[in-house]
Amino acid sequence: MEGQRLLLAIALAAVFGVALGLRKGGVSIALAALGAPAGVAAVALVAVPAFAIVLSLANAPVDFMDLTRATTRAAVRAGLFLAGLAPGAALLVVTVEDSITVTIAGFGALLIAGVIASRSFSRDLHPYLAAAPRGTRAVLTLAMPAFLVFAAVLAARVWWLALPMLVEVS
Amino acid sequence: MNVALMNRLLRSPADVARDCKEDRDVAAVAASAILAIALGAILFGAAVGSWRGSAQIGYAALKLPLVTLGTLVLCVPAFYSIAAVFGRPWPLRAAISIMLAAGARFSLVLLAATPVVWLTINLGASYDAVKLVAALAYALGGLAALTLLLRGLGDGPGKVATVVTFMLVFLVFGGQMAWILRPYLGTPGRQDITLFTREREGGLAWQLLQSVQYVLNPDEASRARQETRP
Repeated sequence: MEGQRLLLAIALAAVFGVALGLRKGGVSIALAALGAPAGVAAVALVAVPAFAIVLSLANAPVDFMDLTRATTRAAVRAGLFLAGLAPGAALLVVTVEDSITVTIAGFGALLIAGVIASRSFSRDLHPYLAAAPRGTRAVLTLAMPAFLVFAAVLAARVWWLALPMLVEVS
Repeated sequence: MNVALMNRLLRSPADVARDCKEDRDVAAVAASAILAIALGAILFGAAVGSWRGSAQIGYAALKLPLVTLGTLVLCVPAFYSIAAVFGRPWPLRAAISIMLAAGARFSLVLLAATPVVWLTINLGASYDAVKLVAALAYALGGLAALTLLLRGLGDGPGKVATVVTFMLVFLVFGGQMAWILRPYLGTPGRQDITLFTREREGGLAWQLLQSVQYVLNPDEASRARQETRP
């Protein structure tokens, strides 16, 4: 169930990637279709397992399935947002004259998707973390924002590397 | 066109938005809305094109409905997904009909602004002044459409986030759609009338900023246009 949801999130984000790839066309479409979901996948498969270890160390009352569910729900929300923007993004990347507009619009959309995912993730986990003992809660007060910052930097870095059409100046 | 529905759109947008959300008579709302969008944009476009006159009137009347309907086509998936991620997972039919109703309200405001734009041109206003008046009419129309969207979203968490995100998306997509189908007024300093411009002219935001500067300083405008005249 959660695996299917993550795949759906990846597929939705790939639609946005296809739109970005239209800037250059050809192979670039396929590369961008892989690049846009790469940031989502990196957070889900790299950052969240690391956070799971931190939660376990802090003895937080969140089991693996709760964390997985929160992750996939956040990923689907980000993917759905990006897929919804895809038609407009396609128009923008194909017709806009200067590359800086593409960079701002592309990273802007990815940034908002990241904020949506972070909001969803922290809201889904909030009831569990609020019920934690005081010591654990204190650790998590620091750990949760640190995780969100780490996830944002990781996703931004992956997108920076995987979506060259957003960083090329022409 | 259903005049009673247009009256409801203007007077009680909340009722129309509720009907759209509850899937009540949405086919009639959609049909009337599309007609209102086309009519408002055609007449507003013709008024804008009258600054240059001749074929530009027809070109602008043809292109403005395309801009409005094209923007709606691009924004419906965005609105649907933004509403869903912020806690309003509506059916696609509801999202489409609300967007069309908002578009109709927008076009009715454009219709109201048409005589103002025409009179501004008739009084001999400059290119930049007309451009700003048209942009102002668009902003007022956008505000009217936004009211319907706000009522449609109802109360509850995520309302502000939905509206702010959607407005941002709408401005970018709508602005670009309008930009690629330019010119509507015609190009100052040039007598030829073209359906589309393919010259590199910066971008929409830059052009609007430049128009504000030129309205405030007309000497600078005429100097710049003398330099670019072929």
